[in-house]
This record gives sequence, structure tokens and C-alpha cells, in this order.
Amino acid sequence: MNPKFYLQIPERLEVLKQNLQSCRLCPRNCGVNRLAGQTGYCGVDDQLYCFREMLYCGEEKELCPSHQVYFAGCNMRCEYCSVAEWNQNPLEINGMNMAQIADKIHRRAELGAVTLNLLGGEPAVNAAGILELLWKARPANRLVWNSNMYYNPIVDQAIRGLVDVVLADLKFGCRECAARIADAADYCEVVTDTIAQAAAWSDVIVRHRVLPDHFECCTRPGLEQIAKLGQRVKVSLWFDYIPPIPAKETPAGYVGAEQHQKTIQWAQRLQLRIIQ
Amino acid sequence: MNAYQRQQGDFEIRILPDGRLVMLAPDEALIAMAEQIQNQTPQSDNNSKQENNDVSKQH
Repeated sequence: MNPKFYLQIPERLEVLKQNLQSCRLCPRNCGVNRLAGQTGYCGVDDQLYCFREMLYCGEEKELCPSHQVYFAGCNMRCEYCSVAEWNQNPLEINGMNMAQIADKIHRRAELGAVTLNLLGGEPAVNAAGILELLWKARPANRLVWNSNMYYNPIVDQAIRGLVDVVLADLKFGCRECAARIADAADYCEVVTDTIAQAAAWSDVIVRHRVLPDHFECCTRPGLEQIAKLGQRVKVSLWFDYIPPIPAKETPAGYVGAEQHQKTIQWAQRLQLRIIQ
Repeated sequence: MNAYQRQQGDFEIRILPDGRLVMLAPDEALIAMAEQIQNQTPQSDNNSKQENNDVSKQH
């Protein structure tokens, strides 16, 4: 972590905490006083609720081995979320305290973690707690902000320069799908802006998990938006979608070979900077 | 019949229509278990490798 930005953490934390008095970290703009224990859409107050940490080699190759630290609480409701059970009642999670997480960060780095991957849930709704953690732990490995990118500019300002890689999920390419599957109708507009903001100061990897039969509505327009950012951003395509049971609004099947091939061809045609 | 809703701490392993075995949001213990199984199973081709089949997080 750049020492100059590390030293700015207390000041940035103060700004975030002021915001938490009437929370407007994300487009939900709940306005609740999280410092007083109130919770809004994401369900978290001003504390960190870490439900899992692990060393993992299944992320993009350049990020591995990665120390994954999962924080509960999310501002989206993706029907296919594979960790939804941890985000339903974040305050009930009896996880590690901050000192224990900090200790794990150092231990995992000693074990070879080249990145510290902050994920969730959604790190943006936990931005204040995460900054406090970074101040205490001062990690030596590269920091990855693994986010749905559905947040307000105040979060970008808080993490600017502290984070080495923004791993940005690009989930949907149209308003209808974002509303139906994730209860976030304005997702595409918000995320287009936050990814562009991040690309101005960080290494950005846009990760698009392809949804079965959502090529025309999501993959195609989503990738076209990313192409506008040019070679500044890398793109990682995932074809491992697993449907929830039951699947209501989200696809019930799996990505087939034809869609797989079509997506790759389209990404190549757009001259995207694809990574594995 | 209502589908079972995964609870905190549950493991979910699924066999896909094409025969692949996948784990949903595996934790370290589950990944270690999968590696152990893989090491004990003769591999005939790359399609059966576990490394292609786990999902860290799908959100």
C-alpha cells in the first residue's frame, strides 16, 4: 500500500463515519444512522462482520494465491447469490473481531497470499470498517477491492490510491434484468460511472459472469460499455453460473457451449483485453 | 414441496447435467476435501479436474 495514501486513512475514515450518521454510501441512500446501530438495506451497522477468510487459488491468475476476506452485508439482492445466507442477518454473525482479522492477514501473507481480496457481501457498504482494518493491519500484499460497484462516489474517494486492483463485477447490461434479478434498476448507470472512476486511478479487472440466455440483454450491451474504456481495463469472463433452486427471475439453466463461444467471439470483436 | 434454503455453514455440492461436480461458495475445508478426492481419483481427461469446478463466490 502506498505510504502516502496509508497515512490518509484516519482523515478518510472520519469522512466515512460522518456519512454513516445518515448513510449515503450507496444509491439506496437509506439515510439511517449506522453509528447509532441503525441498519438500512444492506443490514449492517458500523461494525465489520467477517464470515469467512481463506487462501484461494481460483480467482484470476494474476491475483492468486489470494487471501479472501468476506464481509457480510450487501446492497443488492442477486437471486443467484451463492453467499446469500450470510447476508440476510449480518448482525447475527459471530465472526472474528478486527484484531483477529488483522492477525489472519499477516499469517496468510506469510503463507504466500500475494493479494488481500476484500469481498462480501459488498465491501462498499463496509467501507468504514475496512479502512479501520487496513489502518490496524497495514497489509503488505496487494489490495483487491472485489465489488459489485454499486456505490456512490464517496466510496471511490475513500479507497482511491489505497486499493491496487478494483475487481469490478459487471452483472447485467440492462435495467430490466438488474431490477428483476437483483432489485437494482439503476445498476447499469451507476456501475458504468463507478468503473470509469476506478479506471482513472486503479488497475481494473471487469469480471462478467455470463448468465444463460442473457447475451442480447446483458452480455452484449455490458461488454460494449466496457469496450468504451479501451485497453485501460482488463476483462475476465466467467461461464460457471450455477442457478439457485428454485430459480424464479434468474435463469434456471447453465451456460451452453454456443453462448460461451458467442461471448468470446463478441469480446474479441470488441478488442477487449481478456485475461484468465 | 418447498426447496431447502441453504443455511449459514451449509455446504452445497451439485452434480450438473453434464456430469461435472461443483461446489457452491466453498470454504477452505471443502476445497481441501475436493483436492483430496481429486488426488485419490484417476484422471482420464482435463474435464474431470476439480480445479475447473469450484466457485469462490457468485454474487
